[in-house]
Amino acid sequence: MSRFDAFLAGFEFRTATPQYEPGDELPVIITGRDGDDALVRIGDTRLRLPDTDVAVDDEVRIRVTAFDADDATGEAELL
Amino acid sequence: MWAANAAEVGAALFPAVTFLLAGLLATGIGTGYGTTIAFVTLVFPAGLLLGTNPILLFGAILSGAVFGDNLAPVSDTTIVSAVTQDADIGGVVASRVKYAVAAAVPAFAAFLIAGATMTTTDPAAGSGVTAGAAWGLLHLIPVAIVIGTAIRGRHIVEAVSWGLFTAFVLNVMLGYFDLVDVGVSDVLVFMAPESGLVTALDTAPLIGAVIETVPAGEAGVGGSLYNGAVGFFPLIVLTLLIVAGAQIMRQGGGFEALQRWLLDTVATTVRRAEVTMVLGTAMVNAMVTINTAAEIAIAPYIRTLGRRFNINGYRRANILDANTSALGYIFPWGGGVLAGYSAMQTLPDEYGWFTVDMVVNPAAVFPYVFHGWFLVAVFLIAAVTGFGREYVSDRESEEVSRV
Repeated sequence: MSRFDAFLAGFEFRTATPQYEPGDELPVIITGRDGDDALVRIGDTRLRLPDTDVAVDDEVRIRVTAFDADDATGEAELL
Repeated sequence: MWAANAAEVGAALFPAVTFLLAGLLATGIGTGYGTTIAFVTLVFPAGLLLGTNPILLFGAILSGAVFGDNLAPVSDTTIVSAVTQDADIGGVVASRVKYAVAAAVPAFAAFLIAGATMTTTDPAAGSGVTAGAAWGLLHLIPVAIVIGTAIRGRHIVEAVSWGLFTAFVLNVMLGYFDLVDVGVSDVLVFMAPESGLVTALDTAPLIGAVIETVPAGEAGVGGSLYNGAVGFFPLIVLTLLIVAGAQIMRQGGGFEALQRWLLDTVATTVRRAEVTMVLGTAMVNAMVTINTAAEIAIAPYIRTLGRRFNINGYRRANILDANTSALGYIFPWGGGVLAGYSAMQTLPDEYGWFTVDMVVNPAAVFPYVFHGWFLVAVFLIAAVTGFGREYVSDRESEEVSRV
């Protein structure tokens, strides 16, 4: 990112429910656990990582495997 | 005064121009308190001579201090906000320009309108002061040296040290040529009771300039160099106590309980979480006099709340610092307001025409710290509308470069 880009980054009205597509790879912070599943909340969008052994607050990279745009929920796997 | 006359800045324009200049200085030197004291001592009397409304002028100075405290890369609040939210200082500053400008533009307009409409005082008649001297601008040299050295990547302590050294040499030289009433002993002086050794040292060349013989009860160290350092001890002690208190709260589980309650009942959506972050920071800063200490106290909550919604480090640092900078200069008990008020109280001794009535009551100035209010408003609007919001997946903050 150039110096100029750093000034313009984030210069927009960002949605509370960011949308993703299967295949998207992204860095995230693990925000919760539900039994064996890890949960990632990005704004009000919720992603579930089934049977994933990571702790809350861990910083990881994930790949989105399924996403429901209406609900802003989906599933992802650890990379 | 000389610059104001040269630019023909009238009483009505003076607050708006003062806001800009104070903002520039504070952004350069990184200390809002220092800027407030410098402007109250040097620019405030000049404004009164032109007939500017004193309360509005004090509000303009504090607004400039807010701007710089918020934006300056070398400001203590900027550094705390970046380091506690794991974001690099350069990226944090770049990402917060949009908020600072969004607040500064309406603040500048407000100072123009208020300057033109608010009643002004009679220009201090009979003061005998009609123009300043151009050499007064020489005082900007040390500031330029600090900014230049810091921009060249030198450590901030080194940059400030060069500024101090230049200011010392400059003031002693101006004093030597009778342009200002400053001598070496105003900068640093050791006051000792009279004895054979002290008398010998007092009359010695060079070293004698910083030694004075005084009655036994008045022995001590003085001068602006010493007093400036001593002035920071309360902040150091308060910061240590707050960090210790926060650590005890963390170990005892209080931090976790409060965090859980916030997440379960208050911050249930990303909008509500960001509004909570804005109001929480504002509330703590409204209660604690020294804003850097308040910022250190609230920083862990902002970090955890923000991370629970994958809000990236830049956004968290910006929410934290904007409200810290703003509130520290608004309420009458805020450190910045008190620093300015203390400096103002010395003015009647300094200028014969400056009467005690001209000192601004700290409780009167809070509505006029326009930039501070606009900055809080910008962040409340940004939290609700999502303006400037960035998630970790949008952009990861770079590694923290610790100054």
